[in-house]
Parts: sequence; C-alpha cells; structure tokens
Amino acid sequence: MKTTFRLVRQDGLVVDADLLPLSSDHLSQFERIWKRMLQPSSEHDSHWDWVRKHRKVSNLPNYEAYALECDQMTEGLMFLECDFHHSRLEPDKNLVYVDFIATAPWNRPSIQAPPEYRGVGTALFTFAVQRSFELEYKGRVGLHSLPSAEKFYNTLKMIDFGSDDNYENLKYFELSTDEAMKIAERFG
Amino acid sequence: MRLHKGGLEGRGLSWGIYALTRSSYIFYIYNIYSWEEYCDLSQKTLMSLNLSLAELELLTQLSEKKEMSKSAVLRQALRMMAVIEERINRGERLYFESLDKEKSEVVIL
Amino acid sequence: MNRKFDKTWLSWAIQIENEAGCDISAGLDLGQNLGEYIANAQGCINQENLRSVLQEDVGNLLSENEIEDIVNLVPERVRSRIKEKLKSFKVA
Repeated sequence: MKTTFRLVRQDGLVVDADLLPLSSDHLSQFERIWKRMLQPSSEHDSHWDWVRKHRKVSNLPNYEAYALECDQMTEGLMFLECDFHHSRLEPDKNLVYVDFIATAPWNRPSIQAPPEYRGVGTALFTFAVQRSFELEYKGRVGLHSLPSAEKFYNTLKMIDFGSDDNYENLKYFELSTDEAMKIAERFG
Repeated sequence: MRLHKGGLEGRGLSWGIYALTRSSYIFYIYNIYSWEEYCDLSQKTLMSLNLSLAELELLTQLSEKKEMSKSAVLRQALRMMAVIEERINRGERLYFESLDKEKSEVVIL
Repeated sequence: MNRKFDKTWLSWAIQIENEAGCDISAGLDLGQNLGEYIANAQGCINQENLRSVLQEDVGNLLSENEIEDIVNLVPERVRSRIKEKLKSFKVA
C-alpha cells in the first residue's frame, strides 16, 4: 500500500513523497538522524522514542503506523488508533485518533526556517482523514495537540475542546464531518 | 471455503494469526498474502455469514447507531476482539470505569 | 487506494501551513516537559485575587509594598514547586 503526496522542497521544486506503512528502515532513520537532532533541542517531543512506542503497539490491530518518505528519507511519522476512540461531537460514533504525529526536525519552522519540505504534516493529517472515510467514520479525526502545534489545528478549523485533565492538560481537537468533507474536496 | 491465492510468499500481521488461531481461514490469510496485499484495503474477501435473528438485529442496531455499513461494523468488531485477546494474553486486565470513577473488571474466560 | 494528491491539495496544504506557521505534532507524551507545561498553563494564579485576599486579611499588618512583594513572589514559587513535583514523571 502506497499513497503518493506532493511536497514543496526548500528550493521551490515540487517533489513526490510516499506515505507507507512504517518499516524498520524508517525507525532506523529516526534513531540515527532525527534523534540526534531532537534530543538537544527544546522541542516538546525531543524525548520521544518512536522505536519503543512502535514496539508497544505493533501487535495491536487497532493501531496503524505510517511514515512519509521522500527521496529515501523519513520526513514524518504517525500512529493512528482506529477503533476505540469515540467522537466528542457525536458521542455514539467512532473516529480516527491521531495517537502520535511528528515531522522530521528539518521540516519544522521552529528548527529550520524555511523548512526542508512543506506539506509533510498536512500530508500525514490528510491521510488520517482519508483513513477515517475508509473506515466509514465520515472523516472524524481527534487528537491531543502538543502546545507548539495548536495553531495548525485551529487553522484546520478543528473544534478546540480545551485542556484535557486526563491527558497531561494537552488541548483536545476534533475534526467534524463537515470540515473533513471540505478537506476531502481537496483530494476528490 | 478456500481463500488460497497460491504460494506461501510474503509476511503477514502477527495479530491476525494470534487473534483467531482457532480459525483456519484467518490462519490461511496470514500465510498467503504478501505484506502489500495484506495492508491494501481494496483487497477484500467476500464471505457469507450465518447469523441468528438476534445477532442480525444487533448488527443492524450497531450499524444504524454508528451510521456504518454492516461490513464496516464487523471489521471493527473483529479488530477490537483481537486487541482484547492480545492484551489479555499479555497479562493485562480489562476494566470499565463508571462516571464516578468506580472500576469494574470485565472477566474474560 | 493509491490516490494522487495533486496541485489542488498541495496549494491548500501550503496555504494552511503558511497560515499556521508552526510545527505539526500531537501525542500524549510531554515527558520531562510536562512539569513546565502544566506549571505555565495552570500555575499562574490570579494575582488580582491574591492581592485582594491579602489586603482584606492582612492589610492592617502589612504595607502595600510588602503585599506587592508577596503577590509577585507566589506565582513563581507555585510554578517551581509544580515543576519539581512533576520532574520525575516521565512517560515512555
């Protein structure tokens, strides 16, 4: 399974990037390259260990792990939980919950301006929306944002449910079906 | 019912075989699909299902409540069952928590 | 399944990312940053309320300057105490 997105490189060139199931190569690149750049930084995910996180969920069928790859380099990582989370907007219904999402350090405005590639995070998020439609959750997506990313989810017009006491006081955001439909129009 | 597509090539997902070790069908799926095929949602297998009236009614209710097709409900239910099996097998326990934070364990035999 | 996300999608994605101008990340794992985050988010007690409580209860014993010193000191002490308490808390 491969989904191809387009990204804009720092020099303005439009390039193809593939969204793939997470592989050991992606995790190895995280270990060797991402980690070295993130650990000394003050990013909120500087301590994240994607290898360990993946080990915890790799045998659980409700989790899906993906990487966005461009020119044989891992540009973004994402875990989705697809079965157990309920919508807060429509409590009877399920949604796709973005368990973890992060872009490579060189794609973050906070570390490198301008970023190496633009479109990485949006590609990952768009894929989560697409999975929600495929699972018949009508595009509903939920997540707990890291503080530095809240503006992105506001820009996407996700509903801001405010700080969540049960989730490290991170803000919970949810994408409604209506907004998901608008995003879906961008990819037909 | 045979799902054989030829050969024993490729890798599968371990949860598939784990969750339904008593089902030879699923065991077969594990063995015969390549990784790419396994992940590809467009590669679906059609199978008939025998349900009692009560089970069918339950499926219809869930399908209506969640506004999902019956197939999607069943696929979700299957994945959820596999998760519970896997986590119980790891020695974990399953609890429900009431609104006043009282926990009750779901005993799974 | 292999849907091509073309120029329409890309121009929308770039517009959204430019407008937001921030990182894109999510996940329940603030780890060692949790203390600082909670301290900043919740440790900021309402200085106006504190001032009026102090003025009402001990205003006859302390001067305005002394009350002001306390009002300025307390939030910082609260923040550092919360950080200290949560420092050892680390999620995988």
